[in-house]
Amino acid sequence: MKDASKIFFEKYFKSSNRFVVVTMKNGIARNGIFISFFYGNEYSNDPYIIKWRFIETEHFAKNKIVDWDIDAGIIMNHIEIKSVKFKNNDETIFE
Amino acid sequence: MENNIHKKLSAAGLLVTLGIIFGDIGTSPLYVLKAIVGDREITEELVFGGLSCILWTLTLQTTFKYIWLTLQADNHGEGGIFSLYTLVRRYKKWLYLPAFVGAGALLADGIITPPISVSSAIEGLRLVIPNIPVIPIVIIIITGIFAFQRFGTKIIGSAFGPIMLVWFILLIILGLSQVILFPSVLKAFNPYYAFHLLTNYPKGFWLLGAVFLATTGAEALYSDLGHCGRKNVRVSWAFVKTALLINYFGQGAWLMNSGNSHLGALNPFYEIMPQWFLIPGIIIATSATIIASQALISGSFTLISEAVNLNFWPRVTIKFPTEIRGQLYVPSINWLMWAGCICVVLYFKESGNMEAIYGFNITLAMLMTTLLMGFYLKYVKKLSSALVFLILFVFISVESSFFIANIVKLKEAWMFLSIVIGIMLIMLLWYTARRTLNKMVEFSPIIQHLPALLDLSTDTSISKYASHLIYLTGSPNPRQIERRIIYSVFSRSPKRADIYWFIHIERTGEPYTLEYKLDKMVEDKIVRVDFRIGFRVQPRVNVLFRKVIEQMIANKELDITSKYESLGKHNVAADFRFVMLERFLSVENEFSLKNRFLLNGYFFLRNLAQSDSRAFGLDTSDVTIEKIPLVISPASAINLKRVTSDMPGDGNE
Repeated sequence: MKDASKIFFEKYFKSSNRFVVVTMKNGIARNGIFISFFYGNEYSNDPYIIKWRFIETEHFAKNKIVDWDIDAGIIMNHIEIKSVKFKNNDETIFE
Repeated sequence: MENNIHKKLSAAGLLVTLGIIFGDIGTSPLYVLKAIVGDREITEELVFGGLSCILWTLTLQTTFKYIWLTLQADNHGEGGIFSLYTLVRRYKKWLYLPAFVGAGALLADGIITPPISVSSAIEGLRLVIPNIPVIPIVIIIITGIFAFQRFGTKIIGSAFGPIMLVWFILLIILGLSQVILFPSVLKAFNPYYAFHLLTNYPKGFWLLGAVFLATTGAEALYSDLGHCGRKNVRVSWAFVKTALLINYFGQGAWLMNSGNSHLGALNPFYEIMPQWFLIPGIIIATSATIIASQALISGSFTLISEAVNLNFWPRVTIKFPTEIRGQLYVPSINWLMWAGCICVVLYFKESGNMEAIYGFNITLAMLMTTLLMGFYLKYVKKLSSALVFLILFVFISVESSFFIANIVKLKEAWMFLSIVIGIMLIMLLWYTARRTLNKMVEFSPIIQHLPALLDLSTDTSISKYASHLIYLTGSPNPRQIERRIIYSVFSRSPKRADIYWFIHIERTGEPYTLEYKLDKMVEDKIVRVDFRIGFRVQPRVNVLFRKVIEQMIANKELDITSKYESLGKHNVAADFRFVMLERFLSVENEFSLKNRFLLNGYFFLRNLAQSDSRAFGLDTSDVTIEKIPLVISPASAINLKRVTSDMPGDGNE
């Protein structure tokens, strides 16, 4: 079975509008975009992508934080993500 | 070209093979039978049994396992435990472990072989000058061998083959001269004598520890395969094995014929040598042991170089003393081995004492090779599981017996076991830490940075950082790039350049691959170069990149004339600047205990190792080193509260 993180990864970065709502397994929901990612280790049982860097829309707008700042945004563990939904069409691409 | 000549079956190739491959195993007659007899009573049971064990060990272990079976497992002509590992690594994730143990054992062996070989040869001088100080002579010779490494073996290497040829002819003549006096020694061809010795002779099984010394060079033989080629090794082995057996049997004949009840301090190898021939004989023997030592030292350099290229070992300085392919010099390993050899000589003093520790490491290396061979036979050669099991069963049984027999040496060999464990732990730490660090490398799609990168390139309000700015990227995917590079370009003093180059190096499982692919992501602005480099090739980026530039200029794909008006007018070439990003552990991180240990160990070793710029051959280029913090698990949120000042005069009264 194909790794769910890989399916998500391939679909997400092909999308033109990447603003999403991410709901974590602990119930917290955030609006924003994923800007980068960390690969898992092929020699262990990691998912294809183990972590994501996420910038919240609000942060983006207010602080004009550039996404290449080394510690911009927050890092999310893939396994803690419950669902990701696109803002423009409400398509849920990961659940 | 030179290499190809050696790999074809030819008289010259056979001669070179004698010099490179068979030095170690070829000098074993200096000490093997002496070690088997030791202080035991000389009887037919012991001598014939010992000879029979040697014969069948050389047949089963050296001829069948190494010459016939293992030499088939070549990686584009190259042998050795890491070559074998690269052939099978994709089939099981844990196969790096036997490769580490085997490599550690081989490196430790390189510390024992020169002292025992050279001492055995020089001790023969006592027959001529009884009070000669052997230890200083051995130390001088060993120091000379290691001091000479920096010059390579191009000049004297051509003499190795002829010297070894003389050595093997000497073995034959000396052996035959005794066998004809006591031809019944040939009865030892019967394996019954070996079986009887191991099962009925008091503590006979433990004699395997001494018998094993006859085949210690077999593993090195596989490591040096690439220098000579399989056909040359196989054909010359027929000659070498004949010479070895004739000499062993000659020594056995002398033992049976001498009338001595015990060997005492005598060495049967020198006893079968006529008195008048002792001095030239010792000179030839010493030369042969120097050649044997040279082969092991060269093998250790190759092993470390492969380990560095496979990311199993911290980067160390590797030099190329000659233009001969594969000839290396690793100064740090050279002098560490020298120090180890001198300690062995000073501690054990006599070759007889060194025999007590010799062999243990090699049994370990052989067992690991057998294990990896099992995977090779099953997955690469596609042999049936039953046949692979049978082959493994035979060799693991034999090698385990040798291993158990050698375990008694642990009392003396603990120091070497700790060297093996130390080397293995360094490899394990380096490899595991790099795997952990690789999980901390952050990538982002390069396409989302292209507009900003193009704007930056043309923004004249920012002074130009370099005409050509080059980054080394670890991203195997050309559509992605590390965020730290993006951070360096934009946020670490914005770096405007005419052309941005991203160079990626992929290490292949083939030894000598050397090719590249160009990807002009944005014409004349952003170019990615993907090098594919074999694990035996040094990644000298400056040389390789220059070659790429030359080829692009020749193809009219690139104009490197300076874009600065004044310089361009005079056809001055544009400037190239490399930016190397060095990661360091940030105080911001909160790691688990395991990761903290791993990463601290890794960065400690990395500080001792060669810098990235030197490792990539960029020390003569314009290189900027930038330190980028490794921030992956930021410290927990800090609750920082702003308070108003109540100092007089600040308007808060």
